[in-house]
Amino acid sequence: MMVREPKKILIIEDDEDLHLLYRLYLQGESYQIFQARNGKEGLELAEQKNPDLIILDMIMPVMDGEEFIQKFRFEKKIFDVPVIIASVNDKIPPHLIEKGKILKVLRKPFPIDVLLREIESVFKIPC
Amino acid sequence: MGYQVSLRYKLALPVWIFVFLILALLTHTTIRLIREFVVQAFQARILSEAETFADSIKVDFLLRNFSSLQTHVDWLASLGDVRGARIIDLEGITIIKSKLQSDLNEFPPTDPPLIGAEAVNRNLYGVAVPLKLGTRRLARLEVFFSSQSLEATVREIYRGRIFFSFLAGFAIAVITATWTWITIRPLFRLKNTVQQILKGRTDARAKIHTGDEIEDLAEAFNEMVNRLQQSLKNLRARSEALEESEEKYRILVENASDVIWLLSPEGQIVFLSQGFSGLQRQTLLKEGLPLLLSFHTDESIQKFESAIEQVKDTKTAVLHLDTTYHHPETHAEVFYSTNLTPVFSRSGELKGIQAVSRDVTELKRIEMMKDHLIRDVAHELKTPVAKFQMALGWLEKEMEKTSAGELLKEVLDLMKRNADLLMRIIMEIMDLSRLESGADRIIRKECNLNDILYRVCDDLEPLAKEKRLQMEIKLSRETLSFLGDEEKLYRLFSNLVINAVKFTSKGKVLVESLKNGKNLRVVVRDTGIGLEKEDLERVFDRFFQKTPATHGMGVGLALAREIAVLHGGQIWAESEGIGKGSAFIVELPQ
Repeated sequence: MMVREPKKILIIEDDEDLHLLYRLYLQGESYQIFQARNGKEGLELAEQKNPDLIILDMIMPVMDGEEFIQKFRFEKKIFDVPVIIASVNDKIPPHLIEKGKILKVLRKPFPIDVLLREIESVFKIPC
Repeated sequence: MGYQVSLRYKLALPVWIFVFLILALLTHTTIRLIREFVVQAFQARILSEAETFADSIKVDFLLRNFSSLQTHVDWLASLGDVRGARIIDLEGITIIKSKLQSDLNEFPPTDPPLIGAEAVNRNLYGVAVPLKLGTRRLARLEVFFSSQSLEATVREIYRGRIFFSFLAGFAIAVITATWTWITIRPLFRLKNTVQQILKGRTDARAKIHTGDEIEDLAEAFNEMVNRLQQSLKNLRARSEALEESEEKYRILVENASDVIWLLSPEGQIVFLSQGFSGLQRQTLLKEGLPLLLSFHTDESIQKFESAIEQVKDTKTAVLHLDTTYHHPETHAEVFYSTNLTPVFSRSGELKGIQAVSRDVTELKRIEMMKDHLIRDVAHELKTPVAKFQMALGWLEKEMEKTSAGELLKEVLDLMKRNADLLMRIIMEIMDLSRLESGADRIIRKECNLNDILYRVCDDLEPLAKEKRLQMEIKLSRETLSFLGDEEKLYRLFSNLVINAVKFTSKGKVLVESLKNGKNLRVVVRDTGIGLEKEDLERVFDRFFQKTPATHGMGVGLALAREIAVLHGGQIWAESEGIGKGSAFIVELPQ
């Protein structure tokens, strides 16, 4: 297997516990983690770091997940970065999912394995 | 009351008629007899008078001294009631005849000739006597007498007799009427008594001492009135007691907080202690069961009707029939729990169905609050437990990299197992409440029960092995195809098997499937601790535990029941008792 650049994952989440847990599981040789505490921070980081994958919480202060997708996809016109939504609410307005690459929705709480599998499968797909 | 003839006249009338007839007869015969006597005496008199006269003229006749004879005859003819006289010789030639009295124009014809004294016409008697010399007949003397004196005598006698007999008749009539009156007067007294009683003076009694049947009648009458009065008194006392008792029951029934009602076998509301929420009692009594049912949900109507049929068919009670009712005005949901009990007549026939309906809305509300609370608590627990699990998972992985002590690993394992268990319970609670609230629906697809059961047994065999239990599987050879939600059915059967493994310490767990008529049946049997009879139902309640010290059942069986019911099926437990194992049976309609 060829050694490649670690994939950049942007995690937008307001729960510090989850940041720690995601970090524990994902931080390593394969992935590089960036952490944002709300949608606004997320947008800024996404612009700066050009992540390969975004893990997004829906309910956050300042700017929520829905607004983030709206801005990210329809204002910044970034459609090729996959987004995994991890939320307690699995009812996502369908127009958000219509366009853009892989908008997988994971209902919180989920076993970490599920997320790991999901991330792996995202990166298996040849870009 | 039409025309009435008093009894006293009715009784006296035959006596009067009898007396009148007797009197008439007596008078009639007496008068005839008297008349005969009078006539005989008259005839005897005129005969002797004529004979005496004949003797006195015999000499003149013999001497043929006709002038003297004429004088004698004339004289005779002028005497008293004599009207005329003549002498007729043997040849029938009148020799001498007197002058006639003014009221007689001529001698009446006497053909055949007179013999003795006899009436010659209405007013005249004739007497013929012979003029004899020795035994030789010389001529005959005929004398005619007026019968007026005779008639006068008879009339006089008549007058006296008739007057007397009328007097006697009148006297008898008066006496009879009076006697009858005296005899029947007590009857009138009795009549007055009856009238007084009718007017309400119930203490009035007839006091009659006549020493005859009327006295008997009066006594019997008094006795009858006494008895009637006593009966009336008893009846009044009993009806008062009855009213009192009825009042007691009525108060009891009407003040009961439950709705107590009675249905006829035909389904009519015969009795209703009070109305249902928002429905007046009177309206319901008038409109009947259809009106009541119209405010129920379709499901409740069906439940209610089939329950009534069941009571009628099996003649046993249906208890705790839960129905949902919509308040006619506010449309708020009202929950009723109804007990339907058959009521039998003395001959054992079904007379009606007694229903006692209790408003359990508050209870339901509390139950729902409890369910919500459980669900909310579970929901709140979910995220922290999930984080805990994730953290433990990372810890476990890290420990594998380092050479940590066995004890530490064991402790970590314990933490992980229990965190997993906690998560499973939470998930089950969530699943159950989602199913119950209808948020999660059954999605039916063609599936094979045997396949599902294989999967369950396959997945859970390690669990059984851990406890050194034998897992046996005995499936129907036929394909048990069924339209159901495969994932939910998997949950159902796996819950049953997990439960069986959990409560069995040695022996085996047997999973069977078979076709039972039109139904599909799955049996999960174990050789575990078994169940007491009273717990066979309750075991399906969520968090059922026998005592606070024993293991709780969680919600696994409650979830299993919910899934079975949502598939239109049934689930029940069977057990011979504690220590004798148990069987959980699921029956699904094909």
